[in-house]
Parts: sequence; structure tokens; C-alpha cells
Amino acid sequence: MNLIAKNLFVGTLYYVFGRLGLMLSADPVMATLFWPGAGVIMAALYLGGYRLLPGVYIGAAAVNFSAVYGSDPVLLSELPIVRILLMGVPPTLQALTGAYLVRRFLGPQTRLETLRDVGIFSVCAGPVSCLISPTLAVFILYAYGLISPVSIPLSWTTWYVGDMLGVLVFAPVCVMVFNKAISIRRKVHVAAPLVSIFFLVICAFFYAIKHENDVRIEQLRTDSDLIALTLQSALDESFAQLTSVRGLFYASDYVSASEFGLFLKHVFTENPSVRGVYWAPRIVREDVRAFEARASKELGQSYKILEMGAGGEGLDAADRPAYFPIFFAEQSAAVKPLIGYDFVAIPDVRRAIEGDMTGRDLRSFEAGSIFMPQEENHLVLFIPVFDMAKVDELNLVPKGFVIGLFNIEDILGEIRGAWAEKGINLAVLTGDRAAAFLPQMANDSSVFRKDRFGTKYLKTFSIADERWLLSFSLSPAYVEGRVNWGMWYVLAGSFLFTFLASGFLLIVTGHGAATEAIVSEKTLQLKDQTNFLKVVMDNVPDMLFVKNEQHEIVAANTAFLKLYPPEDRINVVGRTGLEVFTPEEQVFYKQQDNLAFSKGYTEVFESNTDYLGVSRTLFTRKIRFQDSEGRFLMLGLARDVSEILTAREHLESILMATADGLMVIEESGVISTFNKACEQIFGFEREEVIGKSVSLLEPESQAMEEQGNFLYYVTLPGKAGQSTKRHELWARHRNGTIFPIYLAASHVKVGATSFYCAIVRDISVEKKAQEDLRRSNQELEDFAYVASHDLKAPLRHLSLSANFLLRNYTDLLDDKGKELLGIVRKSSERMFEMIDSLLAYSSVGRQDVEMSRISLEEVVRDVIEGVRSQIERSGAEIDIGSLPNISGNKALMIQLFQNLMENAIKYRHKDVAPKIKVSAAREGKFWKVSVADNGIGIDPQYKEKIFKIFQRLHGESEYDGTGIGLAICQRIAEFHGGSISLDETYSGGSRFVIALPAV
Amino acid sequence: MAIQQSIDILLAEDEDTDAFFFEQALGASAVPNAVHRVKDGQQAVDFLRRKGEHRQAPRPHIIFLDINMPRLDGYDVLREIKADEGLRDIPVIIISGSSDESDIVKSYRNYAAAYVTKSKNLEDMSDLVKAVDSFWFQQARLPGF
Repeated sequence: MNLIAKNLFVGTLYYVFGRLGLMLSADPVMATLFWPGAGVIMAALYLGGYRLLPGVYIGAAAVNFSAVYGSDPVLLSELPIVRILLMGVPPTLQALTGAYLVRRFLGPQTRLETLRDVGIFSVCAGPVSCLISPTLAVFILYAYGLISPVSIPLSWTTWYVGDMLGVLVFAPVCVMVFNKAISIRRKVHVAAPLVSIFFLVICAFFYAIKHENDVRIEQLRTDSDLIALTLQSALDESFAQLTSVRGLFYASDYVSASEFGLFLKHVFTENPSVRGVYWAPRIVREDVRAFEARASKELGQSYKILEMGAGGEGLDAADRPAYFPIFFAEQSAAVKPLIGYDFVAIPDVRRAIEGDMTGRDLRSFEAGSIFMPQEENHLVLFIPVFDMAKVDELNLVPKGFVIGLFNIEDILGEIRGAWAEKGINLAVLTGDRAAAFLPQMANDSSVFRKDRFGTKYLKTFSIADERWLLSFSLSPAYVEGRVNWGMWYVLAGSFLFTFLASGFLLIVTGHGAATEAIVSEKTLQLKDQTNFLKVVMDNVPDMLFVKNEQHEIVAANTAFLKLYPPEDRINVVGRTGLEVFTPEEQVFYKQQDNLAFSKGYTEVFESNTDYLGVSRTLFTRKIRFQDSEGRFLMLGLARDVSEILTAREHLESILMATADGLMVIEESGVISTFNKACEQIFGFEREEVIGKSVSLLEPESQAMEEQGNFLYYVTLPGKAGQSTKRHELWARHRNGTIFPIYLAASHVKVGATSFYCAIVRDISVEKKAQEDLRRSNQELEDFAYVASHDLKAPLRHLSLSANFLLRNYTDLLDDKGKELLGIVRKSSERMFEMIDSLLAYSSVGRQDVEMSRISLEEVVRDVIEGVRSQIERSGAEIDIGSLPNISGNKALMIQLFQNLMENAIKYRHKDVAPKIKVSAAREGKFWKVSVADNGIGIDPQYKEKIFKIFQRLHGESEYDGTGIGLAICQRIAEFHGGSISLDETYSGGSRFVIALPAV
Repeated sequence: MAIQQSIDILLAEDEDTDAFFFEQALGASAVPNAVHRVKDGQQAVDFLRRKGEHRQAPRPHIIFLDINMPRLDGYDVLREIKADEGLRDIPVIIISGSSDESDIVKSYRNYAAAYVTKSKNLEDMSDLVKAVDSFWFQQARLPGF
């Protein structure tokens, strides 16, 4: 909807501007010299896009339509509508090209700010694209015969100039005015002067053109009147000859055919425009026969009164009271002889002569076709002849008519030829053409008609009592000859000036707008920078202050002002502000100020000052500078480093107090920090090692090694942030003792400097403990070996010997001896077993034990298989729940569960079949595997005792065993990182819970 | 009934008591045997190599070897035998007072044919010897026998 409205708007705008342009057209062959519409539609297409094409085209077609219709409605009826519509195409194509080119080079929204913008715009839209419309349009007009080939150059040129000026003057202004991105002010600045100039030019133009037209038209009128007069007199001369024929009939009562012919003998040669002269007497009805007889006799041929049929053929005359048949005829060869024809029978003739028979002499009508069907512009004159004797009677009836046939063209041709050379075209409008204008015109009047192709001067012209219309028009040559080119040049110049003015205004205002934009942008930037600077100044923790040579504070930031009590801060600027310092400090600070003013700057200096009751340490630097007026000022930058110093002290004290030795070693290998722990470890005082190579702290043999020395390991971390694992190295005490240490180093980078930080620990004690452990393990190993072999052998021999004696020498022993020997045997066997148990216990985990992923279910099944005979013997029932997989040694696990299983079977109620349940549950990071039975149970008070080696709760007579099973179980569980315990809460038997890590 | 060949047994055992009970138990065997006892590892090697006083020593069909012996211990002897091409085909049965796992593993690693522990009572001892007898002397076929 919006788009349709826009299209309609553009179309209407073009139509209006087109009509305005038409008013500026010059006669007759020149197109309008200024065609603002071309600029308007170009701007519309450029800004609005190609979707406005329909509106542009409709406007263009409408302007052409109205131009043609306004000039000549008849022309409209003769021109097919298609041709008129075709005339809308050239302006549309031209505007489209202009819009496209400008978009191509300047983009869719040019602001026409620079010379380049305006230049490219003007050239693309103006001289270049304006070639299109005149070329196409002139070609079309020529093809339709609306302009002659002669006038093509002038038409083309004026059309081109008109379009170009229209585009140059209007397009930039329209583009600027309708561009929303351009400020109203600039629009007004450009448009207002331009509109004023434009109107001045247009007014001048109208005045000039009116003047020129007036002059030209006046000339045309004068010339036309002269032509009309010439024509009139030429005709009068011809008519006078005919009138003289009437005298012949007045002179005698009867004129014979020969007399008539004799009288007219020379008329055709003297006056070639006369084609025929006829005598038509009045014959009343009663005399017809007598007349016909007399005429036949006089003319020597058969004579009969006839009248003309519709096709021109001769018919017997109808019955009338009177006839005017042609009797004598003298005529040129080309004219059809019409002897006997009664002209009054022709309705037109009757109408012409019957109206007023008495009034005028001459009656005429354009009836050449009667005589000469092939020729136009023939005029017939009827000259009545009266009976002189009856002249005084009222209602006099002529006794006959002298009829003259003229060819006006013969007369006209001469005059037209003469005037065509002077540039005036003469045309006689008759019939329909004349009828379009004649009714509006009075007799002997004239009118100017103007259309796009020029002005016509129309003048009524009377021949006898017939009114004709003479049309005078100016030939291109006439106009060219009379065009006031100076005026047109001035006009074109004025438009060009308007264009230049518009370009100038656009560039100037554009430059202004661009400058304004830059200024406002820079102002904003400055404002931003100032704001930024202020925010920075007020938020940096450092103090910033500016002083003059009188030590007065000129400016200071928030951090600086905090030196002063809050209520005093607003008064600091303008005075020295030194009163917060002690007299000594004041002197010192002033000295520094002076140094800065004389030398240009100071080095960073440290000062301690108490203010507002707090001790502060400041690092300050002062720098001299000049302000814009050349005065010397001093910028002070001070940083409160109290916290940093405190923190550093803290850090140093922590560093010194660290239990581990901590050294900082430069990249060169020189020690720079050596803490207290280091002093203790190495026996050196800090002062003795700082600045020395780190090799001082190790045995020489190690220091000589290519790798594996202190320096090697300290510098091992190649990159900042890297660190090494601890390495074991030999170190040398100040007293020469060699001892083992751990050393770990890391590479530290602070700012541009990097160094190594080494942590050392004396591991002599650990190493000794390790060695002790290893030795004790070895001793245990040796003991176990001895026990296995050497300790057991005598016992075995004791047992075997007692056994042998009891078997083979029983006869030699009395009962007491047998009993004692039995005790020997039994005790030695028992001791033997105890040693075995002890060995078994000590061997848990002593050898290399392979750990793997094992299934406890499998373990328990293997155990059941191992103790099958005991299960069968006791009738035990075993219930195995779902058991997990764990990481462990299968043989040890089998031993653990076998011990528990055997206990469960062993410590049963007499005559009660054992029921054993093995189950597992997850508890946190552990699997809790429990083995529960329905046996005799264990008193909770023994819950710890039962896991001790050789601890038994029952006499050997009741339940055999060495009392080491559960101790082994505990050792195995602990070896696996778990534990075993007695579930005190369990009643109805005993329940052991083994906790194993769930991994 | 063919005359049964006697089995030559080398028993390397430093303990007289153990040797006594072993021979006692072996004496009950159905298979005729001759036990040649040496008291340490060196003697065992000399016996096998027919050195010194053992010049006339027979090549034993089977060797019973104690581990814990003076001079060369059982392992040393075992290694000697198994390294000697002329001797390595003789089965060596380790008899040890130790039931330590490491001893057992070590013996088999050195190609012992069996590892048996010395028993602390006579019944077990004769059971063991009977078992050895019935398997090694009666059921198993030994080289050269």
C-alpha cells in the first residue's frame, strides 16, 4: 500500500514537473529547454529504488499523453495509444541509468559532501545518462513523422540540454532533501538559496520567452495578414473577370453561344486559375420544351435538362417550377462538360443561392468535386444575372447565373511558395479540419494555437460568402532565423549557474557538515579522555601531585589528599600543605622539590613519615615539566610501600623460619638466599655462603661430576614455573662431614629476572632408619632360616627318638618311664608345631608377594575344596553370599579364609552341625567380608586377645591348635591394607569381619 | 622269580639322627636297596664324581639330599648335579626340615624331583618313606634300573 502510494506520488510529481517544463518549451521544433522532471525521477529512482519504476513510467507516459492531447485532439485520434505510451519509455530508461550509475559509484545513500561526490553524481546523472532520452525520443518522433529530418539536430540538442539542466539542477537537491541522514539545517542551507535562484531564473526566462514569443507572434500576425491580403486581392482579380461576363448579359437581351465563347476567348490564358465559365438561364416549367428545342438547334446537338445523381450520372430532371440548366460552357480541357445539368438541384447549391437571391453578387462553395472529382480546393462562384427591366421589383428572381469554376490552389501555390521561402507555412483548412476551430471564431478573426511542436496562427478567410480557415505556422528555418540565441545562452547559462551554485552549496555545506562531525567527535574524544584521566587519577593507589616553584600544590589526586584530614582536603590546593610533616621532613621535601626543578627530576627516594598517627614509608619521584604558558611545574609520584615492606618482612621471616632448608640460587649458580634451616643443615653462617657457588655445599668429588651435582639438579628445571622432583644427593657439612640430603628445585621468574629456588632436607636420620629396618628384616630372615632348619632339627630328633623308644623299647620301660617319654614326645612335637606356626606367621608378606585382581568367591570355593574332608566329617553347611573382587594375593587370602573356616568348623557345639555363612557388604571405601558360624562363640572380652600370637582360649585337650591362626589372619588382612575384627554384637556363634580396601 | 636288582640310594644328610630314622624307615621297603650315606655336600659331589675315598662308588639310582649341610649345602649340590650332563638324569629328592615356601620354590627351580619335609614323628616318617618307596622304587621307572 505504501509502495503504491509512493509510486503514485512519484508519477504525479513527474507529471506536474513535466507540465511545468512544457510551459518552458520554445517554438516550434525545440524541445523544452529545461526539463526538471528528469532530475526528479532520477532522484526518486536513486533514493527510492527500482520499485518506483512503475510510478516513473506512468508519470512519463502521462506527460506525453497530455502534451499531445493538449496540442491537437485530432492528432490524438490519429496516433495509436501505444505510440503515446511508448514515449514514456525514454525518460524512464534515462532515469534508471542515472540512478544505477550513481549507486554503482557512490553507493545508495550519498550525502553529497565532497567535490568528488557532487562531481561523480553530476556527471553520471547529467551529461552521461541524459544521452538516452533525447536519442530515443527523437528517433521515435521521427519514425512517427512528427518531426522532419531537418529539425532532428535542433530537437535533439534542446531535448538533451533540457534534460541535462533539469537533472543537474534538480537531482542533487532532491537527493539531498529526501535523504534522512542529512541534517535539516544543511537541507535548508542548500535548498533555500537554490529555490530562490531557480525562481529568479524561471521568472527571467518566462519574461524573456514571453517577449520573444510576442515579437515572433507579432511578426507572424503581420506576415499572415499580409499573406491573407495578397490572397484576397489575387482572388478578387480572378472574380472580377467573371463579373465582367455578367455585363455581357446586361448589355444585350440575348447572348448567343458564339458570342459567349468569343467573349471568353482569352480568359483561360489570362487567368489560369479559372477552369470553367458557364451560363445557366432560368427556365420555368412551361418553357422547358421550347427551350430544349431552341438549345438543340443553337448548340447543334441534342439538349436535355438533366440533374446529377448520387454517383454523378445524368438523370432526367425532376419536375420543378423552374430550372437553371447549364446552357453555354467554356472550360479547360480537364473539366468535365456538364451541358444541361441543373445545378440548383444539388442541395448544397440550392441552399447557397436560395437563401438570399438578391443580397450579394457572388455565391461560392467548395464544390470543385462536381466538376473535377480528382482535384481539391476548387471553388465555384455563382453570379446572378437579373432582368434589368424588372430591377426595381421586389422578390426579384435572376434570369440566370454565370457560374465560374476556380482552382484556388493555383492562386495559393504562388503565394505559398513565395512565403515558404521566408519561413511561413500556409495551409487552408476546409471541411472537417476547419470545423474543429471555426465555430469558436468570429468573422475576420484570428487565433494562436500552441502545442509542443510550435505555435500556429489561424485566421478566418472569406471567399464570396464562404468562410475558410487559413493556418499559418512557422517553419524551423523561420524560427531558427529568428531565435534570440543570446537569450537562450543566457538561460542555459543561468541553469548551469544554478547547478554550479547547488554543487557549490552542497560541497560547502557538506564540508561544513563533515567538519562539524569531526569537531563533535573530537570534542567527545577529548571529553572521554579527560574523564578517563580523572577516573584514573582518582583511583590509582599512588599519590599524584603537581607543585609550583613556590612549593604550592597546584593539583592533587584523591590518594594524595588522603594525607590530610577529611575536612581539610578541599583546602589543600593553593598552599604548600607541608604542615602535616615534621620540620625535618619539610626541609627534606623542599630540597627534593628544588632538586627536581633544577635537575629536571629526582631519583626515587624513600622517606618515612608519620601522618594521621600512622607510620608510612613512601617511595617518591619528582619530575619537572612546563605547562602551556611556559611555567615550570613539578609532578610528584609517591607510592605508599608500607604494606609491601611489611609483607616482605613477613615473607622473609617465614622463609627464615621454614624447617626445610631453602636457598635461592642465581642463574650463575651463586647463592643469594640461605635460610636458618640451611645454616643448621650445612653448618655455615649465611654471610659465609651468600655470593659463593652452591658447590661449596657438596663434597668435591660430587661437585666435579658432570651431572648429579648440586648445580645440575638446581638448574634442571629449564622453564619458569617448572620444578624437579626431589633428588638424593650428598652434601658436605662445614666440618667436613658428608651426609645425604634431598634436594628439589624450581625455576622462578619474577619480572625480568629469573632464579632457582632449592629446598634441601637432611635425610641422615631417615637413611639410618631405613638401613636399620633393612638390617632388622635381614636378621629376621636369618632367624627364620635358622629356626626352620637348625632349631627344628633337635626337636624333631627328640620327638622321633622318644617315639622310637616308645615303640621299640617299650618292654624296658615301666609305666612312669613310658609316661614321661610320652610327655617328651608330645612336648617336642608341640614345640615343633609352634615353631612352624611362628615361621608361618613371620613369613606373611616377607617374601615378594604377587598382587593381582582376585575373586573372593573363587578364593572361598578353593578353601571349601581344601577343607572338604573336615566339612564332610562335621556335616557343615556353608552359605556363600555374593563376594567382591579385590586386589590381593590369592594364596594369602586362601590362608586367611581357610583359617577362619577351620576355626568355624573346629569350635562347634558338640553334636551340632556347623552352619557357616560368608557374605560381603560395601562400606565406604572398604568391603566388609564376614564369616559367621553357629559355634561356641567368643566372649567379647577376648576380642583383642584372640588375635595375639599363641593366645588360646581353650585347653589343648578340648580343641587342638597352636593359637596362631587368627594372628596370621590379622597379619594377612593388615598386609592387604585392611583389618579383621570380632563382631561383638553377634550372638549364637562367632562372626569375624574382614575389612578390605575396595579397589 | 627273577633276582631283583638292588637300588643304589645316595643319602646326603649331616644329621646322624635323621639319617638313622630315614634308613630305619627305608629298611622296611619291599625293594632291595643299598643306602650310601654321605655327611655333607662336598662328599656328595665327590661320591657322584667318584673322587677320593669314593673311587669305587656306584652311580646311584636316586639321590636324597638334605639342604642344611656343612661345606656345600643341598642347593649347591643340586646345582652341581643338574649342571653335569652325566648326572642330571638322576632324580633328586630334597628332604628338608624346613617347610618354608622359599626353600620349596628354590628346590624345584633347581630341578629337584620332589621336596619332602622331615617329619617330627615316626609314623609320619615311615608314611613318607613308604610313599617314596612305593612311588619312586616300585611305580616309577628310574634310569638305569
